[in-house]
Amino acid sequence: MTWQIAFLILLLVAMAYLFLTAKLPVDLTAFLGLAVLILGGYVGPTEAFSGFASPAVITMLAIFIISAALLYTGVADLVASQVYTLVGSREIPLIITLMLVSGVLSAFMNNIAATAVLMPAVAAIARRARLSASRLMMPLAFGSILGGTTTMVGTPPNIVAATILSEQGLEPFGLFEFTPIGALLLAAGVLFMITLGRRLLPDRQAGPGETETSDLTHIYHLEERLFSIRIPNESALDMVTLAEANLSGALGIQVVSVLRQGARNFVPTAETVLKGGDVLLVEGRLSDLEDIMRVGDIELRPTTTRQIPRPMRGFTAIRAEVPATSGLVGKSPRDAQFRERYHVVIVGVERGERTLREGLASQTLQAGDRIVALGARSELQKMQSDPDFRVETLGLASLRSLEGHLSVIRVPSGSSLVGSTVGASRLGELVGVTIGAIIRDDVTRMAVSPDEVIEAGDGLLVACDPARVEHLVRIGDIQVDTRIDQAALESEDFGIVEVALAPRSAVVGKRLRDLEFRRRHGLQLLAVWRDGRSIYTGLPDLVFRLGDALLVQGPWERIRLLGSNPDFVVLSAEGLRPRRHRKAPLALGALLLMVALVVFGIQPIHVAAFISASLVLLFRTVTMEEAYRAIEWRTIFLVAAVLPVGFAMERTGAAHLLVQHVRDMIGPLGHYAILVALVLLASLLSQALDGAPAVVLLAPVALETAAQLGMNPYAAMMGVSLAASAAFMTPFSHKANLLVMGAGGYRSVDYARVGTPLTIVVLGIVVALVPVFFPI
Amino acid sequence: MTVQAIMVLAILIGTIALFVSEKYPLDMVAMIGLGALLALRLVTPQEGFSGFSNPATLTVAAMFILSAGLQKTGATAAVGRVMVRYSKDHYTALVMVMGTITVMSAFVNNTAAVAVFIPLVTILANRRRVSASKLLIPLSYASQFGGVCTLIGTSTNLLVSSISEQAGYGSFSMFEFSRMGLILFVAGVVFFLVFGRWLLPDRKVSELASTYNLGEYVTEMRVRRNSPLVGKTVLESRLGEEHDVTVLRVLHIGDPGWAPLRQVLEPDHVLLVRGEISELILLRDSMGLELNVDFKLRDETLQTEDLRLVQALVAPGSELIGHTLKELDFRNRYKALVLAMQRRGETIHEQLSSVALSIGDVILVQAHEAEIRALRRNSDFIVLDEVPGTALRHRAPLVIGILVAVVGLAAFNVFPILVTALLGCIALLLTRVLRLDEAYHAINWQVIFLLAGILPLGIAMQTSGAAGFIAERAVGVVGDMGPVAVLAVIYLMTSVMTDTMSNAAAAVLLAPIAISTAEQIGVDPRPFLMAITFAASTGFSTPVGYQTNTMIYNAGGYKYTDFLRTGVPLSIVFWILSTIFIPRLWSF
Repeated sequence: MTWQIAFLILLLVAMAYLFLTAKLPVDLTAFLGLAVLILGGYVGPTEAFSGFASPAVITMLAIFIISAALLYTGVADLVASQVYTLVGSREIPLIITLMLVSGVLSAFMNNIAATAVLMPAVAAIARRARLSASRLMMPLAFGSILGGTTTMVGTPPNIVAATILSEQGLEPFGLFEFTPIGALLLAAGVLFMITLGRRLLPDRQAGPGETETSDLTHIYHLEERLFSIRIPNESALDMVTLAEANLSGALGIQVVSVLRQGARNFVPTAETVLKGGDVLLVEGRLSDLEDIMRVGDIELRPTTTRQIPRPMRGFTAIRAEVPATSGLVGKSPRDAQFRERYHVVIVGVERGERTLREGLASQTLQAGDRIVALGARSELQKMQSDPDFRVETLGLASLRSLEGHLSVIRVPSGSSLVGSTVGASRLGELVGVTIGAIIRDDVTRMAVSPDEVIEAGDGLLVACDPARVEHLVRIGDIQVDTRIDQAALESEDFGIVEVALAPRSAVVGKRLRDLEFRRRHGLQLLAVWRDGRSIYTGLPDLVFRLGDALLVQGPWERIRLLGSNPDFVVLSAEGLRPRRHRKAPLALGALLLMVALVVFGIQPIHVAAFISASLVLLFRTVTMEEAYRAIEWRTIFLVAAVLPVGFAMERTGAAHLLVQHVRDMIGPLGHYAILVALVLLASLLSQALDGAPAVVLLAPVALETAAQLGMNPYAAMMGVSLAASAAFMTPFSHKANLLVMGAGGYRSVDYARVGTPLTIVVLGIVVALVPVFFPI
Repeated sequence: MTVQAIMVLAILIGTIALFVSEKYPLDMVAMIGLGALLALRLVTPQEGFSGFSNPATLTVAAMFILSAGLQKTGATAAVGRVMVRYSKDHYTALVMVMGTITVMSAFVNNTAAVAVFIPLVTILANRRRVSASKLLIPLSYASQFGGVCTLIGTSTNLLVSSISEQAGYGSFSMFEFSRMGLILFVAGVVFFLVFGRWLLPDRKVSELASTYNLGEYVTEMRVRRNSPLVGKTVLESRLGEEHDVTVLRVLHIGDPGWAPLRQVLEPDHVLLVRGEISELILLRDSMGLELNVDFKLRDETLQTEDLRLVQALVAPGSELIGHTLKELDFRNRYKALVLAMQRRGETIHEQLSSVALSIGDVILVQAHEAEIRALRRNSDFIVLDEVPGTALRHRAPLVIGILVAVVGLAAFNVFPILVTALLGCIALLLTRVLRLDEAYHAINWQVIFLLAGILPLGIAMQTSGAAGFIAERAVGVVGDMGPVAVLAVIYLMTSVMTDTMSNAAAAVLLAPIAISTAEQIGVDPRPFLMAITFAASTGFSTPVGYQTNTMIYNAGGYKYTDFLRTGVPLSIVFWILSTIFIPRLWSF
């Protein structure tokens, strides 16, 4: 073994480790590997990048575009919309039909796209058939994965396998060479799902409810969390905007919609002005709300700096400028974790002429702001040497700018606040101010921690506009009603729907807060379904993942708009988008042309696919933007970057060497055992990695083994590429699985339970049938 | 001429016609052209798809990612701030603007650099009391001078370099262009210092309201006692749907703020409305509203304490391009009202909501300070008054270091530029300056597919003999005049093609012809290729010839003729200089 081979094997091991542990994104790992190959002189620069023009990459690129054309011209919807009318509402016929439909579509479409496009229709069918979506979504995903194996262009592993064969100087697989085995696999998959699989599929919902809405609220356990509050005519909330009322911050509730006499229900925005007599449909925990409403018995008294009792020893105030060079500029105290970092409490921010006193935690600091803060002298002195601040005064005189705005909240002995901690009292959020200090026994305790327990007779020192505080404290006069009218949730104009995230949605990885979902889409997010349970709390900070399902309420027109947004898949009839139906024949024609060019041997597959792709572009069945969006860049880059690794393995003889060792072990067991070994290896690798790169990495080994042992190379490659497609065991092994996860309400366990036997069935058939069609 | 050559020429002419017509996107035309070449077997599949793995294509993609990394650290904006500080008057401002952008765009892609500089130049103009129109054309042109200073400055350099390599004449080195680039830069600066005063228009941006002629469209109307609108909300009045009239504010009832849709109208309310005068007159009669004839619109009317009026430019790569305001639900999405739009030197007031946005459009937006801050952070817009701060400022030295390493390693021929650029991208990803999705997003696929699709056409011209055929005819005409004259002709042709279609396409199509011509008259083709590179990278004469021109078109309030007036003389200067100096720097 030369050092070159040793190093290459080391690299492979490192890459495999990174792939399997997902320490880095897989495509980054692939590019790192490529860079090491170039630097190590294994491949020349030209060869290293030749992957981008390889037939595999070009075919995938073209198929992605053609697939987008089928999608945007509505070919796929057309098929799906007929299913219910033809099949009716029985589960077994529905599973059979849906799997066959998705299978046939994904024979020529990208599997993920085929799944995504059928999801709204399947959700609608499930609802009409009174079946839980979980009974149909997984069959849908599995059907499209299995359908992909029926043609050479159906799925990237097959495309890659064919390309590698042709690079070895062998005749590549024909377009329909996979079809006999693939079709049998699909049939076996269908058979499995309607027998054993059907028993294993979870049933997400206890029992079908009366209406679609009550189903959804039931599934998401929203009944306990939805109630309505009425604002009395003379309420402090009359003529106050929703943002000012700060109901979500103060009471921990979200206003879902507003029912106003003589007006249509509407989803409020932050600027909506509340009126006396309004009924607000809200979502949240009733017990929390009741807790907070007991706060109303406090009393507020303005105070001056002179009246404040002497502070506890070692505590004082500071006034410091935030210079332009400070790291705090552009951040809010909350984002900067100010309290945790400096152990002081900001009670005011002077900006120019104005002094800000409310909502300080979320106020974005600007260069030149002066902050007024309270804290231990030792902590404040540390700030003096911190370059993020320029301290101007230290001592109680710093509070001068707050003069006239300081108040003390007296907590009487009977108050419900007694005994709760400062943090849990929610007083800060309720009033929008920070509690700077607690005055107890005539001593001012500054910079109290959120864990400090409030005692009877305490005075809480706050900086704020007294009128505003009193205003908000009187929120307590709202009237709570736990019964809600179904009509308030859903009506002619209003509805509740489930929404899944589209593949490569721009929303993935972002927080609701940053997306400004309500503002942008005019819809209210009620809950998120993830890992088999629904999440209601902390939604604004929840980071969206692919596979999440969102429960959304709002006007139908807005829901329809959301349906036309490529980032979301609305799981109802509203999710069916307007398509360019008139151009459907053109898209189909281009596809047929591709098949004809290949079947009659006029053009090799990648050229034929590219010609078809340029035709669908010419016919404007898809625009360039839609096409770019439809291309799975990750798969393309991953394959392009991994292909040279395959070359290098072969060129250096690493593949040869690896196989030599293994051959002695399993060689005597015969060709059949080798096929089994390859199939298992491919299946294992593809659970962690995408199928296509798994094939690229295994192909040199497979071909070398075949060559050394005189086995049929086609059988080896066919086994590897089919096994690489059998990714059913985890939601992450195939994007199609992940896509239906939230919509079907599945947990990872569900995939293991249904997917493992299916994988065994599929691999068994592959091992049994490949030798029949390609004698080993 | 063979049948193949005729077919290639037909595809070539078709492609050029589609490029010039601007009816289809450039990348789509390139893809279809490639499809035709493949279908007719004018290129082998390997040649046909070589564009996708061509070093030029991939390096351009990698440079997009590196530029995005630099952008994210705010380094470009920091350089821009230095420029603002040292500009004292019109002349120093010109020198500073042109100098800094040239340096930036020598290493960063031109559109990205110009996008950051536009708001800075606007600020500078306001502060130094120079009108922005005096500086923005120099900005756009100088970014093009910068582009021709290094190999990675602009995509056409890489393209011609790779064509030269394929034809067996070797690739270009990193700083091969620099000397000529510097000559052109100096000439350009002198040109603007001397003639700029006369050639560049002086469009003082006084009040935004008057610049946009809003006075004719915005007025006050009083609700009469008998008006059928009394008791209805603004939304219910359906003024927007039926009359294309927007109620901007309801005056005299405190401050209901931005576009009060749910405000109930009462007698004697005064509405500030925007709409066509004929519609307003119609409303006056049918809806019982009274027009205030004495109304004079001032910016203050549209701006309150925190309601502001700003201009926003539709950025390159913006997701809004191709969509109408209605489709985007602009008003709700951004909580901002679009009052008017500037496009191709014209102000649009009517049917605003159904105009599909395109790159370089400037919209006049009225919104709250907070919303404007949100717009500023949004990469789909460039708000023309300020540059957003960036969170990654402390990573700037790292990213600059990576960029220097990429350029340095390539300049000293340690690795080819493509390899160093790939390493640079990996470094950016590993240090988490960029996430992978940001990196993919940074790549402008239009440019990549255009390059990948058009490159094979160049190959086909060569292999089919079409290039030779054209060269033969050309040599027959100009061959006797000597190589310098041929060079002048090639430069001129490239320049004209660049101004009317894509510069990359011009370079790819003319390079094979130039090489064949050189071979036929027996000289080194390199000077010709240089002429093509320089001409293709400098498109001054039209606002559409070069993307940076499109970006400043509306921001500077220019007219189409402004580009002709400054661009044509400058192009002639460059043409003469190139004809003189290229043969000296690269001998035949």
